[in-house]
Parts: sequence; C-alpha cells; structure tokens
Amino acid sequence: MIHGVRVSSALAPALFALLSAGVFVACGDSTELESSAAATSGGGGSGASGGAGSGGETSATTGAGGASASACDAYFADVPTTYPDAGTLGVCDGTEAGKAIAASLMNLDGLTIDNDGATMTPCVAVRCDDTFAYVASNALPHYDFVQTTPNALVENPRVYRIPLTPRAIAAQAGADDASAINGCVAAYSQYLTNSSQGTQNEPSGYCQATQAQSAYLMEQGASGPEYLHKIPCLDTTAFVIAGSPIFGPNEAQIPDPFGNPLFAMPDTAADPYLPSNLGMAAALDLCGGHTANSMHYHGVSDACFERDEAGKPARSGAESMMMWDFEAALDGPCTEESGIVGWALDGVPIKGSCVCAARAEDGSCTDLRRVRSAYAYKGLGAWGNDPNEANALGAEGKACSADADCCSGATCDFQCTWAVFDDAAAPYGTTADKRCVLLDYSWCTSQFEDRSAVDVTGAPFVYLDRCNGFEGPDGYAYHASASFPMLPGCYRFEPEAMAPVPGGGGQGGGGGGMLPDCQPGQMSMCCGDGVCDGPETAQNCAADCP
Amino acid sequence: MLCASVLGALGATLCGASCAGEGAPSAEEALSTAYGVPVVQGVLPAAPSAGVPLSAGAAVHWELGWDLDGTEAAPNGGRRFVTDLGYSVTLTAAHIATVGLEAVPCVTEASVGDALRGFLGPRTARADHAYDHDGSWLSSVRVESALGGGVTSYGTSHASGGLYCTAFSLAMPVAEAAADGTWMLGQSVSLAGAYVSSGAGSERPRPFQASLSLSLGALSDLALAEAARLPEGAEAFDEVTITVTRALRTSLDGLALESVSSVDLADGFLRNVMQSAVVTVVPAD
Repeated sequence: MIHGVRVSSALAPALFALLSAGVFVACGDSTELESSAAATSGGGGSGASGGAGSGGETSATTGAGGASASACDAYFADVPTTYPDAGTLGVCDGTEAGKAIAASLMNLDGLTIDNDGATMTPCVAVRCDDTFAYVASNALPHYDFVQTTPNALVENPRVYRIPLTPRAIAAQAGADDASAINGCVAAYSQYLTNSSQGTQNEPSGYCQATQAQSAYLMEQGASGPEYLHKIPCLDTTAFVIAGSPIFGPNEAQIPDPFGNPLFAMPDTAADPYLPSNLGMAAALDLCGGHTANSMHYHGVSDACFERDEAGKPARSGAESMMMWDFEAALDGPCTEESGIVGWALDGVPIKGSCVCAARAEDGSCTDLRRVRSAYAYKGLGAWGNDPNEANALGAEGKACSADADCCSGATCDFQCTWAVFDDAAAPYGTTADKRCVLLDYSWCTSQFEDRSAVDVTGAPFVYLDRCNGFEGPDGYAYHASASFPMLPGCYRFEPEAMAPVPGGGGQGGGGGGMLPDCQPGQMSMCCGDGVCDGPETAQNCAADCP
Repeated sequence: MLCASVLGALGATLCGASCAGEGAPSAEEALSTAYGVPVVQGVLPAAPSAGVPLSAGAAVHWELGWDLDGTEAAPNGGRRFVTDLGYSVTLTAAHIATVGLEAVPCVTEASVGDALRGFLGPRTARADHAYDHDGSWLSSVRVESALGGGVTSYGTSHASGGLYCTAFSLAMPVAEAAADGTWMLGQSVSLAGAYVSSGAGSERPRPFQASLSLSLGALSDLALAEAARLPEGAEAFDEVTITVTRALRTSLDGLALESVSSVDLADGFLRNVMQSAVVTVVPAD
C-alpha cells in the first residue's frame, strides 16, 4: 500500500529544498536517491516556475535555436555540476542538429495548466555546447492535468543531455544475444506458480533491470552483428517535446507486474471502460502519459503533440484526448506526416505514427504510411509448455469484443484490447486485431521478429525495427506506435546521460535487499530457492549465486 | 532508505510547531506520533490539515450533494446564474457521472518516504505508478443532475484505518442513465443551456450543448464537523458520513463562452464542479 503518497503542493518545495541542500548525500544507502542528480538539475525548486510565461519569445521554439526567458532557464545553472564535461552553453544556432532540436520543442510561452485547481506553468528550454543539446524541463504536461488517482502531479526539474551527432555503438563483447535471451521463462514460471505475485525485477533481459545486466544487445543483421543499447526498464529513456520524460513500455511491479501500460487504454475516448479498469490505477491519459508524482509518458498520441504555426499546442488537452481512437492509431490510414514528438537520449528524434517512406524531388511526400511495430503479441504462453498452462493462460489471444469475453473477477489479468498479432494468412504476416491479452510482463508477451525482409510494397504500413525505428528518406528516426513498444524499445546509438538503473552493484548499494525472500511455493526470481536465476547475482543474493 | 535527519526535517515540515511538544508526550502527541501529523483529541478542529482519524474497518457512508446557492430557478427545471466573467447562464441540463469516492490518508513520514522515491524516479522495482486504493474506496456508477440540489446517498465503504486528510472523487465516461432518465452514452459530463454576455442588454440567449468523454478526478480537503468529538478514550471514529457537495454557481467560471469549444466548455464545467467540492465529515452519534 502506498497510502498518502500524495505530496501536496505545499510539500513539494520542501522536497526540493532538501534535494537542493544535498541532504540525501549523507544517507546510508545512497543508491536509491542520489541517482536523481544525473537527471535532475536540482536547484530552483518549485519556485522556479514563477515568472514563466512572461517575456517575449520562448526559448524553445524560435525555430533557430534562439533563447529567451523561460522558467526553465534557471536549471541550466546546474549543468556544470550535473555534467562536468559540458562546454559553454549558448543558443543552438551553431549546428543544423541544434537548430532542429530547438525548433522541434513545444512553445509553452504563456501557457498555464490546471492541476486539480492549482495553476502550474510548464516550461521547456534548450541550450547547446559544441557536442550536446541540453533540454531543461519541469516535467509538467502542456495540457490540464487529468487526475485519475490520488497521486499528485508535481514539478520535477531536470536537464536532459543528448548528442548533436548520434554516436555509433561499437562492438560489445558482453552484449546479450537478442535471439538467445530467455529471462521470460522465469516470468512464465512465476505466473503459473503464483499469478498474484510478480517477479521482483523486470525479468525479460531485453531492457536493463539492474546494472549487473549487460546494457547491450546484439542481433544479427544482414551484414553481420549489430549492437544496440538497452533502455532502462524503469526510468527515463527519452523526453517529449514539451519536456516530460518518456519511460519504457512497461509498468513497475504493481499492480500488473511489468505490464503493458497501453492495454489499459479505452478504444476511444467515449468508450466506457468500467468497471474493471477502475482498479487499474496505472491508466494513462489519452495522450499516453500519467503521473508517478512526476509526469511521464509510455506512449504518445499524435494529436496531443501537434503544434500550430507558432509552435504552441494545436489544441487543448481535452480536445486532443477526445480524438483518441486506438484502432485508427494502430491501423488507420494516414492523412499527413507526423512531426517530431520527442527525442531519445541517443540524440535520435521520435516522430509520430505516420511516416513518409518516399519523397519526390521537390520534397513532397509520395508514400505516406502508418508505422507498424515488428513486435507481435505472442503471449506469455510462448515461453513454456507446462501441461497445465491453459488453466492460467487459456484466455491468451482469444478473440473478444469485451473484457468479459476474456475472464472476469478480481483475479482476471486479461484485457480485450488492440494489438498486433502474427497472422500467416495476412498479406504481410501480421494483423491488427482486438483480442484477449495478458496485462503482465509486456516484454515477454510481445516478441520482436525481424520483418525487414517482408515486402510491404502496397501495404498501408511499414514495419519498424527492434528499437521501433525506421530509416526513411529523412534519415533514421524512432516512431510512436500504438502497440508495443510504443516508443523506443532500445537505442540504435549510444545514449547520453542515461539515468542510473535500480539495483546497481557498483555504487555501494545493492546487497541482498533488492530481492525478496522466496514465498511458499516460489521457486524462481527470489533469494533462497537455491537457484541463481533472473535478477539474482552474487551481489544481491550470495545464497543462491555463490 | 531515508535517513533520520531527512525524516526529521520532513516531519517538521509536515507538523509545524504543533509537533514540537516538550517533556512527556500527551495523548494528542502520542497520536500525532502514531499518525505523523497533528491530532487533537477531544474537540477536533475543522481545519482540514488536522486530519480525521478512522479506525480500521470504520464505516464510511458516502453522500453526493449539490449547492445551488447563488443560482435561481429557471423555467423547465433549469437553473440561472451569473459567472465570474459576467455571463448570465441558464442551464437546462447538466449531468455528471461519478464512478468512485475514496478517503485518502494524510501524508505521513512513511508515506513521504514512498512519495520521495516516486518523486525522484523509480529506484526499486516499484515505480509508484500504481495507487492501491484505501478500503474506503467505493466504486459505483452514478449519473446525477446538477440542477436538482439536495443530497443523495452513494453507498458505504470501510476504511483501512488511519488519519485521513482528503477525499478523492472520480468521474468517468459511462453508459448509464440518470434518475431523471437522461442517458450518458460514453460521456462523463453533458450540458445544455444558453447564455447572455455581460452587458449585452437585450441580446438573445445563445444556446449551447456540450459533452465530454474524458475521466477526471479531484482531491478535496476533508472538513470535520465543528462539534465532532472523539469518544473518550477512542483514537479514531468507527463510523462517519462523508458528504461531497459541489457548487453550481461557479461551474462555468473562467470560461469565455463565446470562444470556448464545446469540449473545453464541458471540461471546464467538470473541473470547476469537482474542484469546488466541499467535503464534510460527520461522525455517527
């Protein structure tokens, strides 16, 4: 239970004051808390938003990397501390990349939002040195906050750093072979053993759950091995153009262990998703975001990030969210090319779900397609063959029109929703359909298949790569898709300033506290079962991993 | 893990001077220590910050109400009022769909620790995205007309126990009928009416209709009835009635009715009524 997790607006300044004062440095187990310094600019506090909206041009959207007054400007003062190798910061007009980043950010000048009756002022600003762009934000949404749980929205000042020129990933001897990763076997075992208890950490191995795990993936490309960088399972992977962070395609352990956040989305704004979803506190707003005190996104609805000619939000949050249509976002025809909706920490832009696959000489788009993730929902059942599997996972992949078609009751872990499924009879190997899907373990229920060789000529869509990216006439970009992994599922380039991941053994913390003792009947993913598996390492469970 | 100095600092922040008793702790101080925020036994202040202690399993009877002060009856059952921007508005229909109510525990030292972890970003397997509802959470679909006034029962739930500071109410799109027969079909709020601009003289009323298909929740401070007393020797109430009363007169405040879209009109109405809620707690005799 996390009763009382609400942090009032009155308390937030105190929290910031404590952070700014470095109070946590003196604490014994610094691993949990000090890592925020990498992603949080620290100073400024909630008062930093005061005065926002005044002044002339926004610092983020002058279109030429120009800079002017923004509440977020104050956060740049901490950059020399947060990023000791930073050069002199200035406007981002020295490089095309810097200009592009600056021009892509949302113009929040003069914008205020409602947060349960309180007025708040979101801000985003950018500065560059010769090598990096630094994007400052207070991580507030650019629209009135949609509160669906008592968890509050608070400011969370931070400065992201992304390279102006993405850096290729060198060969990594310790990279995990993506085709051989089998962490999901443990999730399968755990679910069949006790579906009401989740694994302690994200089990798959496709994202980085602990620092003990390799940060890299290796997959065989057409011309040999290719190396990718994992995203952290539970932390910032990117940021949206309004400044709030993007997290990966899974929730945390509770309520649905490392589940798919998108599966809680209604079909449309008008779809009454009661009553089963009322317990699904992790529900996203219809722009793809929600708050764990700090706002963050697990998906992006294009409509919410469209901008007008001044770079400001094209419409209100309510109007944008009313446009949500799951099926259309997944499989509908495109009418115009999507713009940039965010930036990944490796310096690659994230665009919306409609991509230009070919251009004429005059630059006009001649081939507009919807993007389709190459991950298909295959279910947790794909990771084992227990003879009693049907008792727990029998609903998986079943055709449905309502949640009740999947199962019912408090223990029901399935939802009837839209996703991409393998379909040998479909012209291009997959189909977008509404079926029963397991809410848990998103990295395990959806599996990637390299579909780059699939001839999609004539298809209304193009397939994305493992990282949810596409190489088009404008270069490589990640895309927002309405199915797993929704946003970047890995980095194609070296990420910059990736936030530390939990459970790190190299920072003096860790120890056995990261893993729970085994519960009765639990034979995996816990410390004390005599088996060194999943997240168990010699550092966090010497008993099982001598 | 938070070190003691942090907790102390936070405790001081939360408690203020009332936590800083000297010598042997009084009963009130002992309770304060237990709950992490000030509790005054005997006559409890109406101040929301004091919190309302509820025993584990305490019966919470929920009521929904509408405050029609500042409005007047209009033909056909409508209500007329003037907004803060000077619009004279006649609402002929106004329905909202409430799907849940909950008493929310106060922020305590322990919960601040949880909050800090969530605030700083996920550092454990749990990222605090989720909210485990208190036992007082009551989920029930109810479509109400905002124009009738009065108070209706919403149902009874049972608190997990602790000190409670706020109430959370949640509206969502539903497919359900109101008591007056009006159907909400995938809507959380539905409005109809007309307005006349400020100083418009004989301007003809301009009709509007608006609806919204979005969810919205709101937190409101709990206000304990002034004369409420904890029974002698008791540390918490065993049974209370919590009434959530929303105001109609301010429901369209801040909205420029000539220019606002119908979606934003409905959204503004929903935000105003939910955020205007006055939540009173009356212990059972």
